[in-house]
Amino acid sequence: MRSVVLLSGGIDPVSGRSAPPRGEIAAIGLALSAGGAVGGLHVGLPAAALGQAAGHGLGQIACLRGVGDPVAILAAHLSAAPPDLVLAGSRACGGEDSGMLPYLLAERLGWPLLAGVMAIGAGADGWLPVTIGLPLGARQDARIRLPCILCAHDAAPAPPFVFDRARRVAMHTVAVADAETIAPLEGTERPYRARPRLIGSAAPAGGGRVLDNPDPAEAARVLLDHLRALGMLGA
Amino acid sequence: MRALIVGEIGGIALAAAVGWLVLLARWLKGRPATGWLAGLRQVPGRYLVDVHHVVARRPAAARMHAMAAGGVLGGLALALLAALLGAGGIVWALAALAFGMGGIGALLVWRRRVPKTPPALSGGVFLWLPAALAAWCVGNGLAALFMAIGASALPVILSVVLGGLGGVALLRLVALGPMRHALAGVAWLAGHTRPGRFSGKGRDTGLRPLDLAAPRLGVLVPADFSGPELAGFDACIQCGRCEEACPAFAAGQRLNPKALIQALSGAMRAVPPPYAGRPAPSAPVLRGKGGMEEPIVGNVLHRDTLWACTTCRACVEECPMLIEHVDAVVALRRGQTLMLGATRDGAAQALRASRERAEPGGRDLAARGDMIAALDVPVVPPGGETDILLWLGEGAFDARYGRTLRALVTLMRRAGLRFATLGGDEVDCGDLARRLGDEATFQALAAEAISALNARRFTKIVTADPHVLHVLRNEYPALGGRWEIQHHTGLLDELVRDGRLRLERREGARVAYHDPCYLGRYNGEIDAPRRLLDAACTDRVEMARHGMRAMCCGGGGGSPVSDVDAVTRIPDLRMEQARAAGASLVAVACPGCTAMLEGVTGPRPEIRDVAELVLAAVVA
Ligand code: SF4
Ligand code: SF4
Repeated sequence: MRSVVLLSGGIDPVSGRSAPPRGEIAAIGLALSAGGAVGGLHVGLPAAALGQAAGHGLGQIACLRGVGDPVAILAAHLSAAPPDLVLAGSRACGGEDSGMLPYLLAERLGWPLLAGVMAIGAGADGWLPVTIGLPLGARQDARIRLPCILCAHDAAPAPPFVFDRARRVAMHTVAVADAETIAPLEGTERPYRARPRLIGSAAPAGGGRVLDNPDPAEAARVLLDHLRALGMLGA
Repeated sequence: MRALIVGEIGGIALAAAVGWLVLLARWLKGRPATGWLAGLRQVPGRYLVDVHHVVARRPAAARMHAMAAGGVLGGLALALLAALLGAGGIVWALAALAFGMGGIGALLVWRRRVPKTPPALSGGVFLWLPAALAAWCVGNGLAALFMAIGASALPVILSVVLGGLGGVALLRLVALGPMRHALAGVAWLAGHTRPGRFSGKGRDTGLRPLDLAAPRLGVLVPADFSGPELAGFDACIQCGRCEEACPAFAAGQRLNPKALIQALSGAMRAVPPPYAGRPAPSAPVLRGKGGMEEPIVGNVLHRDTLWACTTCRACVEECPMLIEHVDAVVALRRGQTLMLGATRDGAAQALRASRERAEPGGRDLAARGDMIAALDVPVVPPGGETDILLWLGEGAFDARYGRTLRALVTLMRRAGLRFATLGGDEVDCGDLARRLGDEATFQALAAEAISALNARRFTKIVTADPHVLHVLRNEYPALGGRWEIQHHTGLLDELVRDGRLRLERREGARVAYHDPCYLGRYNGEIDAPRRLLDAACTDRVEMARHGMRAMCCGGGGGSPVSDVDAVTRIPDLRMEQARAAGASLVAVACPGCTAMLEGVTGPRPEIRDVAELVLAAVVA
C-alpha cells in the first residue's frame, strides 16, 4: 500500500503561526496505520508547517512547484504515478487553502472519497474497510474501492510529534507543468462573529430518515424540508 | 613481618586502584568529557569542603564518616609508611591509633542499622559493611600495635590475616555497592558537571543548551550520559537523604530519587547488584537487562518516574555526593521527548501549544495583559524605551494571579517607577518546554523572546514568576540574552529599603512564607521576601522546611501537566506543614505555588502573594 498525505501550509487559528491542521496530523496517523510507504505532498513552496507535520511521521515530503490551479497540479501529479491511497484533513486553516480541495480532486481523478474517517483496516481485493466517525461518538463501518481519497476525522488518533523526525524529513521540490489559472479569490476579511446558536441542533432529532436510492427531486425536497425544520432556510 | 604487612595492605590498596581503573573503563564508554582527569587535583578540596558541608548537616553521620573513612585511609597510609621506611614504634603506634579510630567508626556504622535499619537507608549487603570495616581496622590495628611493641611473629601474622580478610571484603563491597562511593566519588568530584557549585563560587543551576544537530538528542541508553555523570551514579552511597526530601516520593508518585540513581547505576551493568533500599512507590524496580547500549526507560526505569519529578532540586540540595538528579531526569526526558515523542498526553498538548502558539496553555498572547487592563500599563513597542520591563509570565492568564499582578503594578506606581510590558510580543519563556525535555521548542521560544527584548531599551527586567527569573537570568545567557533580572520581591525589598515605599506592620494573620524552589534553591533568594514580610506583618513563623531546604508545592517541572498517578497531592502535604507551623496565612511569591496551594480543598490557611501583603501594609 502506497499512501500520499496532502499537506497544506497550515496556520494556527489562535496565534496565526504556522502549524499543521489537526486533521492532517490525523491523516498521517491513518496513512501510517495502513502500512507501506507514506509520503507528504504539498503544492507550493516548502512551508514551516510541513516540517512540523513531518514530525508526526513523514519521512519525505514533495513540494510541487508550478503555477495555476493546485487541484489540476495535484491531479496531474497523482495520475502520473497513482498511489493506492490519498489522505487529507477535513478543514483548511490558512490563507487560500480550502476544505473543498479533496472533493475537487476526487471529482477530477474520478476516485471515490470518504470523509470523517477515524480508522482504516486491512485492504483486500482492491477494497479498503474504514470506520467513519459520526456525531456524538457514533461509528459506522464502510468499504471503499482503491485507489481513493480519505478525509481524516479531526478526532482520529494523532501520532505524537517527534522532533528527531521533523529535523530528518527529506523535503524535495518537484518542478511540474503549469496548470490552468484560477481567478484569484476575492473577499473581505472581517473579525469573527459568533453565530447565533441553533438550539437543539446538537442532538439528533429523532434519528432522521434513510432514503434508499431516492429520486433526486424527492431527495432534494426531503433535504429542504429538513433544513427548514431546523430553521436554517427561513420559513 | 614488614614485608608481610606491605604485601597485605599494599596489595589491597593496589587492588582498589585496579578496581578503580576497571570502573573508569566503563565510565569512559559514556560521552567524552574534557579535562576530566585533570580535575583530580580538585578532589581533595571539593571533598573536604563541599562534601563535608553537606555531610555535616547530620552531625552523627558526619562523625561516623570521619572516623571510618579517616581510620581506614589514615591507618593504611601510616602503616605503609612505617613498613616501607622501617620507621620506629611511634609511627606504628600512630597507625594503630588511626585504625582504632576506624574501628570505632565501624561500630558507629553498625549502630546506624541496629537494632533497626531506618527506612531511608538500604539494607542487604550494607549489613556486612560494619563487619568488613571492623575486620580491616581491628586486624591491621592489632598488627600495627604488635609491631609497635615488638611482639612475636604469630600474633602479627594472625592480625594481618584478619586485616587482609577485611580488605578483601571491602573490595567485594566495592563491586556490590556499599564501598563503591569511595572510588566512584573520586572520579565524580574530579569531573563534576557543575563546577560552578564549588569553592564558594555559588550556585550553578541552569540547564545547559543541547546541540540540536547532534545525532542523539538527550539520553536513551547509559552510554549517552557523559563519563563523569556515569561515575556520579556509581558514587551514590544510598543514604536516602534525597528520598526523604523528595515531594513526589512523599506524595506516593512513582519516583524515588535514590532508586532512580541506583537504577541508572545498575543500567550500566548486565547483572546489577541487588538494590535493597525502598523502591519508588507503586513501581517495583524493573529487572530489565542492563548494558551500556540498552534502553533505560521502560527497561530498568519505570516510565512514570521521569514525569513525576518537579525539578525542585531538593534532592540535589541534600545529596552528600553532590549528585545532579535533575540533570539526569532532564537528560532522560530529552531523549524520550525529542527522539521518541514519548511524553504524557497532557504534556504533549502543552508542548504542541508551546510550538504553535508560543504559550503552553494555548491562549492568545494578546490576552496576556487582560488581567491588568484596568491599570493601563503601557506597552513598549519595538524600538521603544522604558526603565523597567515588566515580564508578566504565564500566571497573567490566571484570574487569581491577576490580583497579585495588580498589587505589584499598584505598588510600582506608588513608588513612581516607569515601566512597561511587551504586550502581545511576550512569548512564553520556554521554562515548561525545557523541563519537559523539549529543547527544540525551548530554543525556538528563547530566540524569539531574546529578539523581542533586544529590540527594546530598558535598564532591567522585573518578573513575579521565579521560573521566568531563572530562565532569563541563568539560561538565556548561554543563548545570547544578558540583562539584569529581578524578582518582584527583590524589587519591593529595594523600594522599602530606599524609603520609596513605607510599610506599617499589620496585625492579624500568622504568616508562613513558602519559598518557591526556583527563587530559593535555584537562585538563592530567600531573604528579601522575609524582610518584606517582617516589615508588613507582625507575626511571621517558619515552617520546618524553609529557605534552601523548603519543600516544593508540586507545580514545577511540568509535573502537573504530565498528570502522574499519586496517592496524595504534593500541595496538600505542604499545606499540612504550614498548619503544623501554626500559620493562618501562607505567603507565596510564584504563580505556580499560588495555583497549587489555592487548589488545596477544605478549610486551610489563606494564600497571599508577598506583593498583596505589602500593598495591604503600605502607608505612603
Ligand atoms: S543520590 Fe545522594 S542523597 Fe540520594 S541516596 Fe544517593 S548519595 Fe544519598
Ligand atoms: S528534583 Fe524534587 S521531585 Fe525531582 S527527584 Fe529531586 S526531590 Fe524529587
